[in-house]
Amino acid sequence: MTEQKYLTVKKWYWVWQFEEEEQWLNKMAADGWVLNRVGYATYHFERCAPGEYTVRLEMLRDWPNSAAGQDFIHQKQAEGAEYVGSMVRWVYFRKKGEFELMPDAAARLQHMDRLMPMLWAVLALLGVNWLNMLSLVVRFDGAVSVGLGTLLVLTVLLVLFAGGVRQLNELKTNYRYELQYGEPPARRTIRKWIWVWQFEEEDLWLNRMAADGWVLEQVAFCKYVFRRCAPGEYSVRLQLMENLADRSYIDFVESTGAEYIGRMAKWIYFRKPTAEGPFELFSDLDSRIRQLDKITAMLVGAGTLALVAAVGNVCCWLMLRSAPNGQVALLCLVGTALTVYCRKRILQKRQALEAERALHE
Amino acid sequence: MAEALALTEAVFYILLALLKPMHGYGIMQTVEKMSGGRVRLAAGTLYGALSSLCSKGWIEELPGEGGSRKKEYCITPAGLQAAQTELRRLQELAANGAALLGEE
Repeated sequence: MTEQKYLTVKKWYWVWQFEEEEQWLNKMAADGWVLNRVGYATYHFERCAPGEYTVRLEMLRDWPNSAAGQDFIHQKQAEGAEYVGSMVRWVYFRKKGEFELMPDAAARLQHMDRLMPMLWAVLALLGVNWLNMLSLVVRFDGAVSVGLGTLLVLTVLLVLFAGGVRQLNELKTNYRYELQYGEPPARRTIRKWIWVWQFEEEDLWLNRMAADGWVLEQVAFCKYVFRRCAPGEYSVRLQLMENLADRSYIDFVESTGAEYIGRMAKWIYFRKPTAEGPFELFSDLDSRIRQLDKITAMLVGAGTLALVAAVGNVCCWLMLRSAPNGQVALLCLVGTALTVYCRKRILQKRQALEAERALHE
Repeated sequence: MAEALALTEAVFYILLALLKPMHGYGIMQTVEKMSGGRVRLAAGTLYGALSSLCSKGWIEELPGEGGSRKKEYCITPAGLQAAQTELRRLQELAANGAALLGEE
C-alpha cells in the first residue's frame, strides 16, 4: 500500500469545545497529520513528521478578511506562524515546535469575552422563541402538533446552548483563577455529551486530557471532573459492565494497580499511573469483540423497548386521534432509529475486529 | 468436544503460570516475565479468562484466608492435561515449521 499523503476528517465541534478541538488537532499532529485546510465541519490534513507541528486556533473580534483581521494574521505570520485558514471568525495557525496564540491567562480571558456575547445572543434568541412557542402551544391546548414538535426541538437546542454557556463560564472562572494565583485551579469540570458508539473517542479524549495534565477524578451524567496532574502521569480506561452489583471485577482490576474512578450508568472508569507500565483493560481481540457484543445487546434492549412504546402510541394516536400520543410515538421512533444507528456503528467496529480475528488471535 | 481446538495464547500462559498458586496480578507479572515482556494480559481479558477456566474446571479458586480480597487460583488435573495436549500441538507446529521453513 502506498503511503497516504492527505487525509480529510469530518468532525463537528461546538463553539464551546474549541479547547477540545485544539487538543484533537494537536493529537493528530503528534500522530503525523498536520492541519493544512479547514472547511465547514471538515478538516484536511497532510503528512508531517510526528510531533513536528503545533496547531492553534482563536476566534477573532473581526472577520479574518477584514483589515483588522488581516493585520492580525500578518502579525502572526511575521512571528513565524503559518496561517492555515479560517472558518467564520475562527483562524487556524500552525508552527513547527512549541507555539501559543494566547500565551497567558489574560489573553485567554479576553478571548472568552469575545466568545461569550455571541453565545448569550443565541441563547436569548432561543429563549424568546421557546417562550413564544410555549404560549402558542398552551393557548391551543397542546393540539398543535407542529408547535409541540418545534417546542421540543427548541428545548433541546436551549439545553445544548445553555450547557455550552455554562461550560465556557467554568473555563472563564479557571482563567480568572490562573490570572490571580499564577496557576490553573486544582480541579475543573467539563460537560460533554457522548454517544454510546463513541466510547473509543471518549477513551482517546480522556487520555488526551491526562496527557495535558488533567486526570479524570469523577464522572457523572454528561459531567467530567478532572484533577491537575503531571502531564502524562496517568492512563485512563473505560468499559461497559453488565453486572454493576458485582464488585469483584472492580476489586480485581484494582488489585492490578489501577484505581477505580467511578461509573456513569453502566460505564466504569479506571486510571493507572503510566510509570507502572501500559494500561489496557482488554489485550486480545476476543475480549474486545465480546465487549462490543455487550454494547450491542444493551442497544437491542433499549431499541426494542422504544419500538414497543412507539407502536403502542401509534395505536393510541390512530384510535383516539390524540396529538400527544402522536408526539410520543414520533419521539420513540426517533429513539428506535438512534439505537439502530448506534448498533450499525458498533457492528462496523465488530466486523473490523472479526476480519483481524480471522488471521490473528 | 472442543478438546481438539487450539488454546489461546492467553489461556496457555495462564495455565502455565498457575502451576503454582497465584492471584490475578501475580499471573499478569509471571506471564509478562515468562514471555520476555511480549505478552501483557490486560485485567479485563484476564478476569474473563479466569472465570471461563474456572467454569470449565481447568483451574480452581483456592479457599482464601479470611479478609483477603485477592483470590488465589491453581491449576487442576484437567487443566494440566489440557496444557499438555496444547504443548504437543505446539511442538508439532514448531517441528513442521522448522522442517519446512528451515533453519536460517
